[in-house]
Amino acid sequence: MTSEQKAWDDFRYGDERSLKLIFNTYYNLLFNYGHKFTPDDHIIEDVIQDLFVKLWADRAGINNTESVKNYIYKAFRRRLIRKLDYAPKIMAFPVTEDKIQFDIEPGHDHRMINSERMRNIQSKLAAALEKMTPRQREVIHLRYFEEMDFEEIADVMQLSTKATYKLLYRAIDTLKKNLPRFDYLVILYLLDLSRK
Amino acid sequence: MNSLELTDYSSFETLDFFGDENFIRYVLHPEEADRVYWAEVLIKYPQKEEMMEEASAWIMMLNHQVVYVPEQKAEECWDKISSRISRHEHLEVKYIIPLKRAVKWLSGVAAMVLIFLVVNEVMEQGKQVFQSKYGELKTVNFPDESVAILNGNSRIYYVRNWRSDKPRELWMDGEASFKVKHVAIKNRIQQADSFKVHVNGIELTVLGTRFNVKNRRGQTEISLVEGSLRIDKTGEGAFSRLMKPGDVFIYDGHHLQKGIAQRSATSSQAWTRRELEIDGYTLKDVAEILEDTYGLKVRMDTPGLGDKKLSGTIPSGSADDILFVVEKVFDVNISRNKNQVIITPKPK
Repeated sequence: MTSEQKAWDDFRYGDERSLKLIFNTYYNLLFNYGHKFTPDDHIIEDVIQDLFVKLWADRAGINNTESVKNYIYKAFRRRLIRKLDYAPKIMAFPVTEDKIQFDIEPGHDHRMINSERMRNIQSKLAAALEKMTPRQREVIHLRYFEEMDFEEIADVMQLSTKATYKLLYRAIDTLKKNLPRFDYLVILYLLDLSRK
Repeated sequence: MNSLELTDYSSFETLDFFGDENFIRYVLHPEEADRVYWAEVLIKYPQKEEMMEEASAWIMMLNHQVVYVPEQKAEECWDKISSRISRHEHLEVKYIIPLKRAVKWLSGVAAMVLIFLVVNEVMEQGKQVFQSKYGELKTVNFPDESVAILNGNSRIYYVRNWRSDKPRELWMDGEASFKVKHVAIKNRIQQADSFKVHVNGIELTVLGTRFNVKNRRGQTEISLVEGSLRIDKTGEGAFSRLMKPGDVFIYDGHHLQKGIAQRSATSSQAWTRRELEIDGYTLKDVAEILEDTYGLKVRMDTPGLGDKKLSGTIPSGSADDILFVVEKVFDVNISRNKNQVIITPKPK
């Protein structure tokens, strides 16, 4: 049992400090994930608050879980989408789940930023991501940033594993159509960084 | 090194490496084994080097995204959650525990209500009499969930006891419409399942059914709407007839005969809806209803007037309703003084 699962069990038996531990582990990550859906920090914070208060209130009925991260992400995503789906009605412009934004900003390393070429590649990746649907961007995010496997992604996004494969395949296909081949030297430089 | 089992990468392109689980792990979290493995791949497929490097660049970029840092610090957010949690706990103490106490207290009350009901039940043993006033409809619910509606000026009584293996049995006078609950188990009809009505010296035995009994002026009219019903008379002039749904039988105290066709069995229950279906009724019949059910005294001195016939449905909510319609449809003059009603033909 991982220490995280231990904390999860302790929380289920009424230990508030264990819930706080889980909260601290995921607060920034959830905020980051939520920020891909909406730029509105208030909504994200409300959802995180509601999520943890609800977890505490329902702790007696919550099961053991293989992956705390998956449980939290799934519950967070469901709540956030529900909230985003309702809120626009008040603001009078309809947004379905498919239209909820999901923005990925390609990362950069301090050492990379000096390179003009690197910036070039980065902007091309950004352009390719731009061409994707929000759901494709989300699956790319969960795969390469959150490093989830297909079953975990399927669980969080409430899709079948098959549909998840399809979604990622389409996302990669979009990349293929929009990314030019990389400058060889830049790649070498990058690889050099990653192997340190 | 040659002992490594390599996957066949000959057809791989950049995007295949980009999507390959082992490759992603190698790029993001390389273990010594991964380094060895992919170095081997590179030796075997040197032409793939460029593609692999492209793929790893994409993976790195996506993985090294800038993490959004909210203004709200985790600590502040937790404080809010924590205070909401303690409020929640407080609510539980404030409402749930008193609720538990209230449940205890209420169960005491419930026990007393139960005792009251049992005492009431015991008190209700014995003869039960239900009587309706003139012009009043009264619903009687029997312990077995059968229902009877009493027309005005009618009564029902039965003897109640704890034993249920005796036939359900009651006595009546006046007019009543019954809906009897069928309690028999299918194919196992016993004496105990039957429902008996004693009226005017005859005995009606029914299984679950709907029927109407009108017993006025020594004459009993029995109309069966649904189910089956047996009419028995014992002793002098004994008989036994089985009725089918839709049948109307009339017993005059001596003989039982099948009733006139115009009066259907269902129309016999119209009064339960506060209506009167006067198909086949003469003015005299209506006058008798006014006397028997509504307590009026009706005088019709003109010969032949009482034999007038009409058809239709008239409201029977009160004697006045009936009189009003009678005046219009029979085309007569009606004068009323308290309970005295005099019907005379309209002067031509």
